[in-house]
Amino acid sequence: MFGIKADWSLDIQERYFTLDDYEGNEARWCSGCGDHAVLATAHRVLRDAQLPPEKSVFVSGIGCSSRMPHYMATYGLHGLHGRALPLACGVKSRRPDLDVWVATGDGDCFSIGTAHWIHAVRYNMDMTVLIFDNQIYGLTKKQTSPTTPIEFKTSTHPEGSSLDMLNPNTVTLGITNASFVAQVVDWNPPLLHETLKAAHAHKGTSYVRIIQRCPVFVDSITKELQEDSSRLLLLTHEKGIPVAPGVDRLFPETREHDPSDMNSAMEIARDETLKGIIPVGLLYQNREIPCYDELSCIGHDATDEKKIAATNDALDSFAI
Amino acid sequence: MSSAPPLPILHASQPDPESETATLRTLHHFHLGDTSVERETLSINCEHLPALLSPFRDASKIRYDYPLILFSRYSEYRNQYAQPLSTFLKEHIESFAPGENSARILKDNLDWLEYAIRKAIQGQEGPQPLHPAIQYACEALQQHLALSEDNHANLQGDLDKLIEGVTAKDQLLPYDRYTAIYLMIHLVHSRSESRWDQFEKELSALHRQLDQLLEVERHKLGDNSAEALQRSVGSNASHFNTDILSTLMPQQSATVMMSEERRSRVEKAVAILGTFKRDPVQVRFIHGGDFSGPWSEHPDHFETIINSDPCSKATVLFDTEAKELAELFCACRVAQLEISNHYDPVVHDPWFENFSWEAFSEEELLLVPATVALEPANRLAHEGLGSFSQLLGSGRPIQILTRVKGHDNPAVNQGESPFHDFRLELGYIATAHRQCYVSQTSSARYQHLMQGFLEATEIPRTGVHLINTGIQDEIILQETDPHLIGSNVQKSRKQFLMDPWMVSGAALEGRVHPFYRINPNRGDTFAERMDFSVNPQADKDWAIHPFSYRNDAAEMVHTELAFTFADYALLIPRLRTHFRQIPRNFDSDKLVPIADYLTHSDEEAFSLIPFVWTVNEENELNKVVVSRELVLACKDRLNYWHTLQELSGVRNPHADQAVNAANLLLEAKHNSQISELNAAHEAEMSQLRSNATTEVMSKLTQVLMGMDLQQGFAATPKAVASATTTALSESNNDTTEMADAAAEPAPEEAVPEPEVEVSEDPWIESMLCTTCNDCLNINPQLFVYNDDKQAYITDPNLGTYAQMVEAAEICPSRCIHPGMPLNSSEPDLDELIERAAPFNQ
Repeated sequence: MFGIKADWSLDIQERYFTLDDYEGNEARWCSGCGDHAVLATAHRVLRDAQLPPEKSVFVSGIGCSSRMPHYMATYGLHGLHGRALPLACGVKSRRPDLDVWVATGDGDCFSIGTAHWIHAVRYNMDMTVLIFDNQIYGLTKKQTSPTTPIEFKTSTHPEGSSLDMLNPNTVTLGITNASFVAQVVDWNPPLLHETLKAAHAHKGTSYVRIIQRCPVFVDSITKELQEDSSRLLLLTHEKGIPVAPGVDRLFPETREHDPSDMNSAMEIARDETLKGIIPVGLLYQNREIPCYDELSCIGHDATDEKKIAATNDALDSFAI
Repeated sequence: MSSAPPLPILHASQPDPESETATLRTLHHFHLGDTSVERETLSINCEHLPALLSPFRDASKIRYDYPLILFSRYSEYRNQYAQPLSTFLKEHIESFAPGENSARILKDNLDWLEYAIRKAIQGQEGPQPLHPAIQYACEALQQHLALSEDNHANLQGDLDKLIEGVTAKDQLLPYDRYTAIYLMIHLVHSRSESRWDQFEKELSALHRQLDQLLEVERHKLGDNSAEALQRSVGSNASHFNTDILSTLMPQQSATVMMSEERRSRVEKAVAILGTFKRDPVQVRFIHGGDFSGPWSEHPDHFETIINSDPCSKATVLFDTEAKELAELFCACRVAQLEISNHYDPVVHDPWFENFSWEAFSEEELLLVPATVALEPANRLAHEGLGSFSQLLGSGRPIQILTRVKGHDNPAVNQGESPFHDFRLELGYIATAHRQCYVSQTSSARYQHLMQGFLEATEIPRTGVHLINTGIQDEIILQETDPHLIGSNVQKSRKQFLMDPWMVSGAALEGRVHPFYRINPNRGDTFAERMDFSVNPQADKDWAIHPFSYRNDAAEMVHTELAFTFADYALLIPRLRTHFRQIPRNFDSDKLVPIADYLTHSDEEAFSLIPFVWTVNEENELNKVVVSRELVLACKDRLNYWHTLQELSGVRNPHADQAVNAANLLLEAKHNSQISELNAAHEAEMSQLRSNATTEVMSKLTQVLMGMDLQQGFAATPKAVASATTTALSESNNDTTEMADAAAEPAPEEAVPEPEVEVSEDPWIESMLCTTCNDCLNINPQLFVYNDDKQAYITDPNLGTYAQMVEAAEICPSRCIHPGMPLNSSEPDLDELIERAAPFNQ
């Protein structure tokens, strides 16, 4: 039309950010730890989106994964054990202009932080939640976590864990207002990158469980998965996570799954417990769910005069 | 990262029944040309743009085909002659950094770089040197980004490669009023230089061979002088004492000599070939003084001549140049004939006596410097029409360039309304001369323009190029001086209502200035000669585009809008008097979009009022009513558009009529066949019904006659069922056999296992690298990170095979493939190769 091509608009950026601009302190995770992959991918997602570092904030609780804010050159908040999500919700509700990320783990989120996990998903505030699930308490040297497989020997269960592992995906899908539920493994960076990109683009709480290697304490668990990728089930769909050509060959098992279908998502998530088939990709997405941060910040931009007037009005109602 | 412009808003109308009739009446009167109501209506200011063009209001950030890069003869892209800056940047960078992730920082900032280059030449007219502009922009980019040391070095490496692709003679051509002239100069030079280089080589060879011919003649005279001997021996003459040799050799002359007449002809040719000098001027422009400007002040291998009748002067000039070259071409031909000893004075003498440009071969014609007449359109339509027509009829390969304003009528006198008369189509006049090349085009579409120039200058015909630039009169804006706070001082600023490039594009889109090319070299029919391909949606009356807006409830509404001549007229300041705003709260079913209005008959249209959609600076969607005079102009344009459609065969009423007639004939024939078949079918059915009734009655009679009342009813169906089952069974057997045959496994062929190719060279699937640092900890020279912080191998020689294998084993994502060892003297290679094997599969 009028000789104008599809890329007609010159994108003149005032500032440009490279990966360096998002890199904080040198990462001190163990060599070969899957956290490195998540960190590098988060850098890339921010770089691709060209988000100003001062407009992003990484919030964490306690655990190996929760070191992440130290390794980001953004704002960061390294909080208390299990409290990553309520802290992040607090930040988002007062500063909705910030891009909020949460780095938490299987212990921090699924154990001590369970109550917050449920309510944060229900609030559906616009934030990206990365759950680094290495299926062990790594920072404190190999204690059983809620997702440690049964019979796996740990410091707290030297004869082997006696309970079936928690399935966090069925729990999340069961929470009211769940709007984005995805699962991925850390050792496939292209899929991890696309998943985090989709999670970041989603408006609402994006829950991403990242099954992640801990080569020091639970090497055998993920090694099995790495060597036998037929246990991984790649979810494909036009509304799902785009899979680059060449990446799909790493997943011999695939299934077409519409992420707007909650029943199918629940069935696939349940199969992880029932059949040991681990889905990777987008389980569920619903773009229509309201975000509590938008509701909670109404009136936040009122001037001081308006706030004082409103307070006075409220106080006047008690006057005799 | 870049976001689409916000959609315009359409406010809901709030009808006021009391004023509705009066408003409708006022608008109708304005439409019909009643000047007395002008004061009751709202004129439109420069804020209002056609709705489809509103998103492109700010042209500074629109990527379009300009500036163009004009490649010099030293550039690796010289065969393309010219290319848009943005395309060059993208393609050249992709050539040395293929893939999404290489030269990432440069690619991410390509828009910024392009913008900086454009800013560097902003306000300049004519070609500007590319090298300094790109150098400046690259430095500015580094300064703007202020990267870390490593990233700075990486980017600089990529920028250096980018600059390497630019030669010192490459130029940037911004979009301005003389773009077409510059492009013509560039194209003629790009092609004539190589042609003349080749021709001069041929000249030199002919000259040498003719010299040899004369040398032989000299020998025949028995010239034994020392000088003659020196000449004969050539460069080795110093080894001989030619003075003594001269006295020793016998004096003897040949018996058969070249005739005096031939010798004189050859000597004349040698003299012409030896003294010829290439004309440094390869393009001559003749104009009447209307085309003066910076472009003509610094001629570089071109010349400008001012003459009141450019077409006539161009004819004279071409003849003079051709005459000069005719002598040279004659000499060349004589040389060729003499060298091959085929010159026959009886045949050739009269031929060469009358040798003129008409006898030139195509190659020779292409060596004649280009003669270009620059003619204003209104001169061609008035006093210049005679010489224009004469030149077109002469067939001389002269190019005529004319700047055409899309909305103007060249036939009306200056100051008159362009809609005073029906529009004179200069292209149609040129086409009427049948044997000249005609191109109606625009500077805004450089490929179409360039293609026209290239084709026209390649064929021995007169070429006419009707070029639209979109450049209109500037408007004067009054605005408060921002430096004087609180002051009411107004200052005026001149600017285009819309970027000329966009206006020119709108002229093409709105059928104001349709593109076409007629090349008589392609054949005798319009179907062969005419190229109509660039026009948007050429089979429709108007180009129709999707359009979206939001209503008061912020809902998105999708619709389609036609872009008409009236929409285009909104871009021309002097034509804005043909529009009036329709009050925002007014609506009526009498208001009709102009494209629909034009489809109604005069009777139907009488009570309707045509309007076009506009968007103002507040991004509000409005309707503006169109005057009847402009409606008639739309009809006139549509009429010419239909003519062109017919000539090009896009929509040909003759063909349509023939197709309709053929369809009617076919339909009648089919109907007749159907009737016959139906009648035959009916007859057959009646016969069958009659036969069946007789048969049934006969069988029924038989049954009734021999019926056993105890068994008869049960036996009959059973028998039928049995027969049916048998038949089905037989049929099934057949089917089963066929199925069995199909299912029978084909003899197994040994399918060879596909061989897995194992790369000898080590490599990393960088895409799968998890950035764990393990391999970098083994050897940071061998393994490094790319722009995405994913590992790759720099140079396998920077490490040992043992390190390669160790890295592959430790790599958590198993993406390192060690390949085979490069250094055969490395210890324990057998063991290492064995360890590497699983990672090479």
